[in-house]
Amino acid sequence: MKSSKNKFLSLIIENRIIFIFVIIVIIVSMIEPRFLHITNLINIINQASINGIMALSMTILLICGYFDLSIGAILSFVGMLAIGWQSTLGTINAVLLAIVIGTLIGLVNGLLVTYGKINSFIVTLGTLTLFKGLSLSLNNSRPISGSNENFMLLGGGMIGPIPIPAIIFVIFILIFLFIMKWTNFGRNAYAIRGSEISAKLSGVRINLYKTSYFVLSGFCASISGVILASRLNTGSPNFGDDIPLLVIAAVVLGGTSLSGGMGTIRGSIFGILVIWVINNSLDLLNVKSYYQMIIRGVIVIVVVLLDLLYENVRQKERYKLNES
Amino acid sequence: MKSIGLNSITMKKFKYWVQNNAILTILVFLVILMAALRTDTFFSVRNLLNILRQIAVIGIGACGMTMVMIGGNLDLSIGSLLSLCMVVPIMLQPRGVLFAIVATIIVGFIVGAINGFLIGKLKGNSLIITFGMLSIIQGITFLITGGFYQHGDPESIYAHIGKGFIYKIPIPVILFIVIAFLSFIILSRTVFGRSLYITGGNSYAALASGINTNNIKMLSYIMLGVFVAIGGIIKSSMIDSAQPTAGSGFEFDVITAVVLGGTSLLGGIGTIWGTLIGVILLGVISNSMVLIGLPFPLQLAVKGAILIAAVYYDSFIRGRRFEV
Amino acid sequence: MENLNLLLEMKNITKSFPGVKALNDANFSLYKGEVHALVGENGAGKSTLIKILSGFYKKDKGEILFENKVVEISNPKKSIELGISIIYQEIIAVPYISVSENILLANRPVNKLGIISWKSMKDKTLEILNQLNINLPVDELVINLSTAQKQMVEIAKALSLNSKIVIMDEPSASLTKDEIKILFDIIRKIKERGVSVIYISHRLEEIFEIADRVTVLRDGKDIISKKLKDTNNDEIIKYMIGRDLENMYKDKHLKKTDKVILEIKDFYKNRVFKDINFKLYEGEILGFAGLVGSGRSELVNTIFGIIKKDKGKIFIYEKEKNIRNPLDAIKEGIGLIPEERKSQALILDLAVDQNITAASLKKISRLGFLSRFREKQLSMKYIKELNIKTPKLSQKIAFLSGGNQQKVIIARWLALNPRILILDEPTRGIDVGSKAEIHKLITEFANKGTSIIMISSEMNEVIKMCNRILVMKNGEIVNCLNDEDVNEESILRSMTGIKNNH
Repeated sequence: MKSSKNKFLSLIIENRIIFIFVIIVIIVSMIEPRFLHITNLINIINQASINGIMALSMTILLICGYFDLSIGAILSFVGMLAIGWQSTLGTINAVLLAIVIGTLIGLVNGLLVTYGKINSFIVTLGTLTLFKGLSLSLNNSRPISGSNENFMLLGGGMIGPIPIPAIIFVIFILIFLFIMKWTNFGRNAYAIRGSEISAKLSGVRINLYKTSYFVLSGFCASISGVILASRLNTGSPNFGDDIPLLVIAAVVLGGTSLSGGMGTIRGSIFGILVIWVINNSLDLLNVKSYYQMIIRGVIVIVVVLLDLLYENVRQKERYKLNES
Repeated sequence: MKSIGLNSITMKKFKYWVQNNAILTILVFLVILMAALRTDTFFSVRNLLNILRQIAVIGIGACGMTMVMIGGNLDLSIGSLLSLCMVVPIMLQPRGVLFAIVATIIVGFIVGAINGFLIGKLKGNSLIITFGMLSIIQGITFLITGGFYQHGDPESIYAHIGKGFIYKIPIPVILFIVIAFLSFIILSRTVFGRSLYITGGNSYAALASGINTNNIKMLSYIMLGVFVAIGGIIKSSMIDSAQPTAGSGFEFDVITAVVLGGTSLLGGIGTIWGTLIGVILLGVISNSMVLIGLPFPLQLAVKGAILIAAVYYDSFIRGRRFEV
Repeated sequence: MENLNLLLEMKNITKSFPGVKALNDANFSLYKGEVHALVGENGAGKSTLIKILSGFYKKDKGEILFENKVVEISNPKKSIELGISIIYQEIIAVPYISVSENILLANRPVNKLGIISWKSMKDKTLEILNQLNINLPVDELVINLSTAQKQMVEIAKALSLNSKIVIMDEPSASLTKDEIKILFDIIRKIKERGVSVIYISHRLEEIFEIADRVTVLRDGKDIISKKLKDTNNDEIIKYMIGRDLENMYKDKHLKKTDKVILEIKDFYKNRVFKDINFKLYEGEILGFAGLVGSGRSELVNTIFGIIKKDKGKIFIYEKEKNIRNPLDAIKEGIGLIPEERKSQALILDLAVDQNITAASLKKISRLGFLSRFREKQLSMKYIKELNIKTPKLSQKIAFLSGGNQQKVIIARWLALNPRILILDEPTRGIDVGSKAEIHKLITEFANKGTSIIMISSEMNEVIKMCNRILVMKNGEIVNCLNDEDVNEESILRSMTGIKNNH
């Protein structure tokens, strides 16, 4: 068994993302004092909120051992539909219908992975291409502008000092924390990847849960798509381009291993914060967007390699522990 | 006491034959269909030449991808690599055609080597790593072009590569045939090729037989990189220009063609002959959709459906599960 | 009177797999509240019998009566519903969740709204554990537990299902003496509750301690069922062997020189094997006997360079060699035929000749180009020599029978003319005819001068083929039997825990 000193150490390692976050914030605020300006911080919070919602559902999928690359495409597509249908259907109906469609896309992903037994990367890559293409064709590769000023309240409005997207994000966080700790729905994600045979033998309805995790992912991407479209009062086919990569990197960075079976909501939250703080600081430092593209890719690769390294270390630790 | 007998073995053989020749059947059927529908446009020399040129670039990439997939991996970064390898020669072309060509091939080599190193030696997950590389290479491409469209010189020798003929056959097609032939020889007649099949078929057995699986994988990525570079040279020469996003969707087409041609996502199975058929099939379908006037989103939908069908076929019917 | 307490009756159970009859008219009965040991050599049918009981296999013939009613156990769920739970040798607990969550995996206590009550879960788990007198840290993640503790979790989980029958397959394999005491206390406790236990083990002294009755299986049939107080060690072993010892077919290869070709010194790998020291003489066939999990496969994989050792030295003809990977081993003239044919040796998508030449690519090529001619030549040679039945060279190896597939793998290594050949369970899952052929082949190579190490869990094979036998148990070599001492009884004694001195 572990001594209390070891327990303390492993607690720190488990929550290393929080330390990374604090360190990065300190470094960035020293290099660029504009970072700490209220407007900038609100900006970061908004971006982190929008992407964070998707990171929450991605966490569950990664725990299970699956990927959803289509979240960016769903975000764009749903955003464009929500804006594009405003005049014909009325804002509220447009938004609701768009969200439903996005969720259904998640369902398609889920069915193909679970019952079609096709690799999730490939399925969601296919969905990604399909809906990216559809988004491009909606308005000749151009973005759609919104007509309803009120719509912007969702993404741009505030309650007191807090931006609405952040409030929505916090609500989602609370819901996810609840799901992951207090419901069978959430707990089974660990069981399914950790030991699928154990889960099956215990009678857990694996296929049902797997499919619903993808539906949830589609839903979250739709919500994010609506919030983003509302913030900018525009729907664009390009909004979702870098998102899947960054969200996955954020979740893995936060402690959800690619090898599956483990992960926490709070880890993913801080992972998102780290990634978007880095993003923001690159903007502040006037790093050209092309360099940012490169940096993003490098971050993803580094995160993946670190995860591999960490997995190796974990294996060795396990051997040592077993000796006691 | 054996009661399995001949029946199940004959059944197995029949199934194998059907699987491997179904594609051929579909192809023939389609060609006949095209002939019936639009004899004048489809079979016009101009259209056929067009198809051949398009197929050439995808086909060259597919030859390389076939090797990587036989070895049990994937490469999602070739789209951005194609863009890069179109931009580089066009920009360097004024300094000398030979210089431009050699430099581009070196670029392809280096990118392939990096992928090969990260995936082969460091054992990173090939999907995510190449997905990350996609971003990096795209960033680099944008960086050196400043985001601008690059124009080539339609009068120079360089333009001849894409548009010229040798004995009435377009040069790109000749290059494709040469590369396909080379790939065929490599896969079926060399130690490297055989090692690739063994590595992809059963990596434990490969290791136990003394094969250096890391090096084999790395080499396959390098070949893919070089082939894509050649493809980029041809394509940029064909249109005398290079857009920094020209290659997007390329990996999608290439993978579809390769899987359609019978190469398995799990590795260990695949032939150049099959890839050839897959490339032609995809080319014919794409071309017909354009001729019929099918709207762009539907074209993408069809292609997406084909990919999913091909993968489903591979996953389910062949009983091969591709787990990340 | 007795029939009222008869919980389970398995009558005339027959089960066959391609080429092999695993159970042949076997019978088994179980009373309420008894601990019934099931013993037999490897391949005797124990595992098949319990897999039929737990719903993983369907019997071909026979009848099962549960509580005096005929039942059909068509799938694992049905078996659980009847009240039969099974504890496997392999640990299947979910690693990153707690002990209590594992134990109540499909039965997390929820209130009306579907919310999990962790307090209830903890309480319920503690209740279960207390009843069994097991001490486990209920909130700890399973992955942080020791192997023995993990086993306890599996046991607790099986017992929490209110089972009527608990099947334990080699439960004491990775437990220390103290932990076994705890296990036995648990068994006695549940016995009091009227639960029956089917206890499979090779360790006879344990069986005498904990079980009420014992059934000996041999060649798929039940030979005897007796109360343990009415029998003894020797009798049980005799029943397990059952053959006329003199008529044992000894096709023994007798040639063996005094030259030491391979010496292994102080091999150690944490939690896998330790204190491994042995010599291999030129031209001999050295056998490795032992139970599943004794570390034999890991040992030879380490010698061959696939697994890294923590400590140890390898000497070939008294020169120390550094083998870091299979290529080094191959260069030193060592070949390894792995245990799992399908997942470790066969390249299923390739043809017969391609499988044969897989390790000889250098041999059949020049300047990197393969020579079809040489490939054909090489494969034809071995197809003839080993009598491999295949319609053509390019036949996909997936279509060959198990025996012929194994011959192809053997050919793969023969093609390299190794001086040391290691075979890990060479005839597992192969029909009798091919088995005999392969035995003959192995003896032939040894006669020609190849030194052979052979791992086998089949008593017959090991006795028939080997000059010397090393018996491994729990990662250590517990006994070394030479020519004269080589017989089934002494091997069984070593494996079942009655130690002989080297």
